[in-house]
Amino acid sequence: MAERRAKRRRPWAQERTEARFPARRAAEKQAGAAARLERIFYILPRVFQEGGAILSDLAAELDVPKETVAKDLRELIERSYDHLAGLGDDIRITLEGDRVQVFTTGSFRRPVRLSLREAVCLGLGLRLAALSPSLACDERREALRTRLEESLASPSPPGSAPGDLLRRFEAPELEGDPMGAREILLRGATERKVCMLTYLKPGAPEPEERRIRPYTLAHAEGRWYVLAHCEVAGAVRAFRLDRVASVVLQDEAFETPEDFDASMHLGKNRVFHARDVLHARVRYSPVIARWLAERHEGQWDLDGGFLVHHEVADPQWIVRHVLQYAGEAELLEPEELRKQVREAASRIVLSTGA
Amino acid sequence: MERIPGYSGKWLSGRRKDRNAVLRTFERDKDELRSLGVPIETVPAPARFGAEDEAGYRRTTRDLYMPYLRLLAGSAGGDGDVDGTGAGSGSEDGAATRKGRTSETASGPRRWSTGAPRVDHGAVEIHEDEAAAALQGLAHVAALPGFPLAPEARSAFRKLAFDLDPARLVETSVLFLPPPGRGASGPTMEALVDGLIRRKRVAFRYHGIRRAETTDRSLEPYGLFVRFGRWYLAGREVARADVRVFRADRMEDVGVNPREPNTPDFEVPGDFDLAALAGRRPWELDRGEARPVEVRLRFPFPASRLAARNRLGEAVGECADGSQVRSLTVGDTESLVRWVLGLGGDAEIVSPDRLVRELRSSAGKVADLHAPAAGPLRENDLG
Repeated sequence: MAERRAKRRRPWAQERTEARFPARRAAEKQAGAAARLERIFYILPRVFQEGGAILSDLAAELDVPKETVAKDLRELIERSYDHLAGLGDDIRITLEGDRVQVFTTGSFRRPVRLSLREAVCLGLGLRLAALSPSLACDERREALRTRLEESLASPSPPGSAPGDLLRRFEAPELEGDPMGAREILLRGATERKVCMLTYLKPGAPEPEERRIRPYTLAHAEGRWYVLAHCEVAGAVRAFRLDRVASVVLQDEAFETPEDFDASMHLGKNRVFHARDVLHARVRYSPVIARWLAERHEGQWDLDGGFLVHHEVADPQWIVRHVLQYAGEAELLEPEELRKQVREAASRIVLSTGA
Repeated sequence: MERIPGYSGKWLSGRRKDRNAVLRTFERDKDELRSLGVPIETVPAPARFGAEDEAGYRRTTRDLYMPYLRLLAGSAGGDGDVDGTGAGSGSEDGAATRKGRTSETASGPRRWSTGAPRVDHGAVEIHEDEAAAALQGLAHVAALPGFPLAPEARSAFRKLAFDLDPARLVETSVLFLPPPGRGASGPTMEALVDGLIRRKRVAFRYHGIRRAETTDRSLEPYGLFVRFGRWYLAGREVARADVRVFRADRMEDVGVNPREPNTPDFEVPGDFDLAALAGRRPWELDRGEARPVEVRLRFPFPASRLAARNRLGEAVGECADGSQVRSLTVGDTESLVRWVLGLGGDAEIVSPDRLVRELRSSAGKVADLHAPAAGPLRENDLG
């Protein structure tokens, strides 16, 4: 009975599994052959164009081991002497040590046209061109996308053109920039121009004016940040773009210090600079523990709760973090931060007219 | 078939089973070449000494290779010719410059010529700012954490870089950080993209976080989107016939319908709007409320400036002290209350009263939970 129920629950998966394993092996083999062919389509015109190339350079460009490129070429050389079907043009490939040369009378002097997926990437990249200082206008980007797709992409059947498939992908946080702050700060970072920022820190009574030298933008967990030298702080700070009230590009130029290292301000998954770090221990109740366990390293307690040790650069952050869980998260220590959570929650109670 | 290594062995056996296997391999190879951008046309070809036609295949050189990209200085609408060749024929001597080389050397000095006619690949003019946007956009796409088409973005970048000099045009000042925890696996994302592009149903085991149970699902994939650094698949769930959204990193064992691989299983409805779905805030999701609820929030100054700037709802009133009341349409009131709590006082709920009470109750729970720990009576505790 249980077996019948199991089959009913997974009818498609059952036959999918049976069909998939043989298909998977064939698909993996195919993927290997296709990847090799793709590399060859790149290597031949690249080497021809440059009059020769070093294996390690090609491997670096293709992001594969040198031995993989060497194997691709050796196999191609072997096959070039075995033209049962005949080739319209002659190709001669020589591999001497680390250097490869290609001689061709016609074929493979150019890269092949963009495949469907490559053309979709180009379209998506142009949609993200709001991330680039040039081409700020949506209409111009769309016109460029259409023109490049028509001229550079391989012909595709109706309904399956790259433009049709582009609609199947969305990245709203990356494309939207309603007030243009990101575009201006990116220009500042790319052109190395000072920016005047009006910034609202969490809990601050009013926005503050800051003169900054933007070094780089970062995107983490749906939020945009700019890492910039702040003249008020006299050091590099991270500013969250959704807390920027206004930003104006100045004419004054700056140089990014040679020793600026963005990684100093980035944790593994978030923008974070451990200058004066507080350590906070938070327990998440069994009701919400599994969500937190997906995102954080921690320990399960005997009651099904999840304990996480947070490193905190900004006390306001941990207070708001705990508040949002509406009583399903408890900040265990330090006592000072517990007090801040209590006071913030009490203020909210009072503000509701209790 | 007998002339092609890889086919000839089995084909020449003459056995029907072997020849059918060769034909299947040929079809897969043809599809693979097309997916790599090699256009293969099916045309009638004379057979049996011209007595009849059978299917033949060809590809034209012009459709196979990329045209030259000829770089023009400045932005579209300006004038300028970076490489100074003035050539527009698209022959190899008219190639756009790359890394400062002249067109004469771009082809390389060691070309072996048999006097065969040169191929005219054509040329496409592109302004410097357009080239920068194209290359920069591809670089960003390739850097997106978990993006399933990152290899294709990189190969497209390499192809454009044949004629365009990335060192001159690309200066990336954007970093993308992966979200915490385990992201969706490469095979998962590849299967989802495959199903999406070919419009084939996908099946997977899904770990639902709300009910903490794993179930089998079958979906017609309509779109992929990224929010908060995580990839989501939207589509019509076959069993329930409504559009659902699933997080890719909670999927396992993803498979694409193997039947009739060249025939789509479904059509995406014309009114399906992935952009609208992907852009919804958590409280806008249809969850918990029978009908969406209009909620009014008051943002004190200066938080009101950010609320306006970030277009949180619609403004319905502004006060003399700079605070602002804004109206939101909410499908998940529980999410909204938690979001307001997380603002730490930068917003308060004005209406409906039910949600004001919920906010008060939730904040009260937090305050009680964080009451000072009971300990020895201290002098200051006494009245």
